[in-house]
Amino acid sequence: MAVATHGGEQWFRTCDVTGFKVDVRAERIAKVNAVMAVVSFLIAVIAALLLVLTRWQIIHLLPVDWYYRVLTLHGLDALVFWIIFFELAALVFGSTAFLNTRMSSPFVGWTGTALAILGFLMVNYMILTGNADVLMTSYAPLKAHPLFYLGMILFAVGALLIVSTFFANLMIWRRENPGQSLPLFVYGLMAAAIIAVITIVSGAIIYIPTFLWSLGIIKDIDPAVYKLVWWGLGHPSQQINVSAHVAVWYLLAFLTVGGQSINEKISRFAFILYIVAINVASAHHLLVDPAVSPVWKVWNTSYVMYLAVFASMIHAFAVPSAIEVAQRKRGYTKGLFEWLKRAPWGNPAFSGLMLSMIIFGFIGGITGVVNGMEQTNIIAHNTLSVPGHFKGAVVGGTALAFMSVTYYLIPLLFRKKIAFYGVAKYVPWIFGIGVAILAVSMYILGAFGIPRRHWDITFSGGPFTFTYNPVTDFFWALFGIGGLLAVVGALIWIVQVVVSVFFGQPFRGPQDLQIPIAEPVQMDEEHKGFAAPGTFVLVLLFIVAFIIFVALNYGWLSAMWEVR
Amino acid sequence: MSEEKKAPFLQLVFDDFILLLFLGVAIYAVSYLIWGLIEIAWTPPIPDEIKEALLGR
Repeated sequence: MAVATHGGEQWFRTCDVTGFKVDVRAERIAKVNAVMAVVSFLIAVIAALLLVLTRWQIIHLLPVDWYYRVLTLHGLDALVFWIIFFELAALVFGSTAFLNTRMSSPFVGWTGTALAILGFLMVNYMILTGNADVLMTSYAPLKAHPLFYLGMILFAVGALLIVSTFFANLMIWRRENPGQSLPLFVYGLMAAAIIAVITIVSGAIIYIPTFLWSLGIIKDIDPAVYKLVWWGLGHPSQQINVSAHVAVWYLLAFLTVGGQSINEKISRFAFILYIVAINVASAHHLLVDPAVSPVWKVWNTSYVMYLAVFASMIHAFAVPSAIEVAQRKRGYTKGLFEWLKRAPWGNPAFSGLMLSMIIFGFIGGITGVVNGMEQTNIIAHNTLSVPGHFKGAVVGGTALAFMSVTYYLIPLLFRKKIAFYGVAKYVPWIFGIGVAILAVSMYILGAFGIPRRHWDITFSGGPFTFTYNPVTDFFWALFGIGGLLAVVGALIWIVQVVVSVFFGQPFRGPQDLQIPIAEPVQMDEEHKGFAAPGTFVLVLLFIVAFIIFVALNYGWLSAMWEVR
Repeated sequence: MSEEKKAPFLQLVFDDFILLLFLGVAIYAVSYLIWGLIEIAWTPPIPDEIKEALLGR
């Protein structure tokens, strides 16, 4: 590991595996953010276990006040802190090491990291001390302690500072490399960073007046305005994930089989569609709100949002086709699927990548479109189907992609060997299958009318009761089994990461690399006929599943109100 | 004499992250945020008699 100096200060080392010139100042910032991501994930997973054991009515573990407290904790640590800390690490590392350039301002990077950690600590402390039982959305007029809102603001400002260093790093790179295009992985991160700016600015627009309101300086917060602006933070924060995890998919296809997009222009165009069209999808959270018109709802959830859905479908073809073409170049050309059968399934990063794509597409993606349409949304709105969709999109899609790429980050970023590497190949399967069962069972329970965010659906002791279809008992059992499997998978991964990073053996060079890095495959300039026929068949299968699910939902909708 | 080949227009657009940042913020701000805020601002206040009936006064 060589270390280069600049002005007497040691700035760069050359990675002995990738050959990248790594700015060690950026590397340290990325490491701290990555560690914070894992800490947040651990809190989120423990909270998830408690929630599964509470909503599963036969156990019903937590009392009512702790249920809503832990639900708030889970929502913010899973959907905000774990994901955004990980993305901040990726932005810093990706915009320096992958571009062979320097960190523009380590001072701003460290200031942002410190503010984000302080915000994280304040928010978690306020929730656990019972001062912020307001759920993740904290809809006004629900009011939390001022320090909860201040913590969110500090986290947002910290994240924005780090995002600003990302753009400054790109500017340095552009000055040093005029006329060049960003590598596709960094291009995806750039899309995520742009969406992050929109997200964080929306957060500031709503959390600053809400903070002042909690202090008594502002008299009222309009609940309709709060909800509109808050969802400019709430949903786009998940679109940062989509962009970032799709970028990670391209990276994993490259690292695991040497695959590259067969048409980078189209992949880049799909990222641009995310930038311009994905954020307005926040509108689907307001589909039953009376204050905004049907025109606003339909424009933002249909005409514009479908451009982003189209973008996801481009990526859903581009990533597997990159894998297929690379495998075919290696000689796996028999039939439609030899390339898939002979893929490196023993590599946890590869199996994690494939499971992440399947769960995100077939569960998160399809249910997301159904939930996002004004017509079909009404039968899923505020039911357990909504968090069922999250589980498919964010947990099965984003979290699993991030977990998978971490198997490369442990040796390449943290310079440690992976502890218990023999177990790693099982982790994506345990976690992925658990999440898939959990997500599907939640979606079906929602279809039976089970509400989300509800402590006791039996209304025991209440003035009235309600009995659900007995078939829901079966899906509650599946929910419990899926949830527990996913928690076990996540905990094994966390133990592996913590032991590797803090107590692991040092990584001394390529001879210590446990997880393989594939040789890149030379892609053809032009393709004749079907370059990836197997992927084409898989995409057709996906489209058939998509059409069937949408048709079923319209069928269920028509059964609710008679149409003459 | 060799002239440097100019990148195609679309590539220039694709590579201009400042332009993309502007487009992303502007489309979201107009289509979702500002339009939504205008619609909420135009919503007439709830009539007093309905408000009182709902609040049970």
